[in-house]
Amino acid sequence: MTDPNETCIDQSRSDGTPEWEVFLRDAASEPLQHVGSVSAPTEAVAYEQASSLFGGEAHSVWLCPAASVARFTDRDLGAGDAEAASSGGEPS
Amino acid sequence: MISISKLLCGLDAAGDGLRYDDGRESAEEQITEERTTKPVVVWNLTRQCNLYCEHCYAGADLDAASGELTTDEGTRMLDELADYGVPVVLFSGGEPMIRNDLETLVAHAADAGIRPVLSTNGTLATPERAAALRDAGLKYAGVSVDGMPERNDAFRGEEGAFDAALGGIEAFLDAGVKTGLRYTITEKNAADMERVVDLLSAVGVDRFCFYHLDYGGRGGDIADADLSPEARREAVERLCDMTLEYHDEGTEIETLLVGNYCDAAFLVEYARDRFGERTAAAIRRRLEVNGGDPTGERVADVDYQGNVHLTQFWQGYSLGNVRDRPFGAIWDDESNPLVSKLRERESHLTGKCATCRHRDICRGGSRLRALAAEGDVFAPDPQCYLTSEERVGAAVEEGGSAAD
Repeated sequence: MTDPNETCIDQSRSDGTPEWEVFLRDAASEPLQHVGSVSAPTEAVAYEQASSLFGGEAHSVWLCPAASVARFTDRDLGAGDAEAASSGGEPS
Repeated sequence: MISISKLLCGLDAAGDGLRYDDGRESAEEQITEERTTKPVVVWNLTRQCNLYCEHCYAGADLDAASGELTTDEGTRMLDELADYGVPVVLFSGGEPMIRNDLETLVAHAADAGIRPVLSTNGTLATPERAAALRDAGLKYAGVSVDGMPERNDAFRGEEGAFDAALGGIEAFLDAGVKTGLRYTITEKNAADMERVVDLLSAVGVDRFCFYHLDYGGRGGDIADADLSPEARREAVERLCDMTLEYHDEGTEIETLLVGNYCDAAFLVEYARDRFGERTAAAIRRRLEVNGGDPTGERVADVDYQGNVHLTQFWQGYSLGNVRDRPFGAIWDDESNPLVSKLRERESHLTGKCATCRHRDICRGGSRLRALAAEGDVFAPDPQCYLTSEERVGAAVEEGGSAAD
């Protein structure tokens, strides 16, 4: 059953270079934690970058292409206002 | 930001309260009445730009990118930033004047109680547009120029860019908007600094911000064109000398250094050499309040798609997105181990930073440059130009040399 109050945020989160969502597990008994995203052309480079930022902290690192993450939320920042995006973004 | 003119010449400015908790004694109207712990937010409204600069941290392009925050999303985010207590929003890009809703967003920020300021290449600033932005409540326009005409145009990828930027500067000044220079120092343009200040001072600019190159976006691609530590030290010393000369001659220009807090230590040493211990100690106290490199604390960035970054230069890593959570919730979330370590970074700095006596006023400089150069967020900043003696005091390391 879907929540009618929740919307799927499907705007792009990157342009050109792919964005990778980063999840860490501090210890084997801990849950995975989302700690942001890195921009990287490949999974290997994304892992290298995430390791540079968090490597010493993590039992394990999971990476997921941001474009593959479906994000449903009841937050409303005005996502339905797509018309304004194009009018706002056009060169004046 | 470190104000040379405030620290060496006592020139008051609107940012004194933000930078030195010194607003109550300032002759200038202050941005905030109380020193705030909330960050100044840079908002890259768009990735699109009409120029293609060699050093662009945002990797801006001539074509528009998808996913820009809409006008409606932007105004709601501004409301959330105001509720959170953000004192200043710097509208940036790409080139923010490409967006035709810039005036709407500036007006909304001003109405919400945020000080709206602008970072632009100036080339699209017609007299009409400058007046409209003034009417919307714009408080300051920083226009990027990176050298005398030929050098600037080569850097910015377009012949005539210097003259167009100068036209923009004059449009903002004529509209009554306080206007300043933004100048990124590299090996190629360090020689032009004084001549650019002389030229722009003559047209009425009185605020000059000099940025050290950070290694984000295309800035990382030209790291090999960065100044050597020795040349950087010489360039900063020349800016200090120039500021004193202008003030001695009765012209109260405001000069600021941005992006390398090793400059804070240098200014203390510069003042000690020229004005003695007492002045150096007073300057150091102000810099202690200033608090060193602000990444992840007193400066934040929201990119055109709503991704939140630790600073505008660090676009390769995002803490989260304002489409998912309010900015304040993202910024206050110290369950992120990188954020929590950055906010107590003195205890994590390694190498020469770990024993430096100036680490309280520098805080290791740029963590992004350290990451880019060493692959380690807490390694020394490759741009540090302090001598061993300056870093550790009388107990000089054996064999230490200038700017090592």
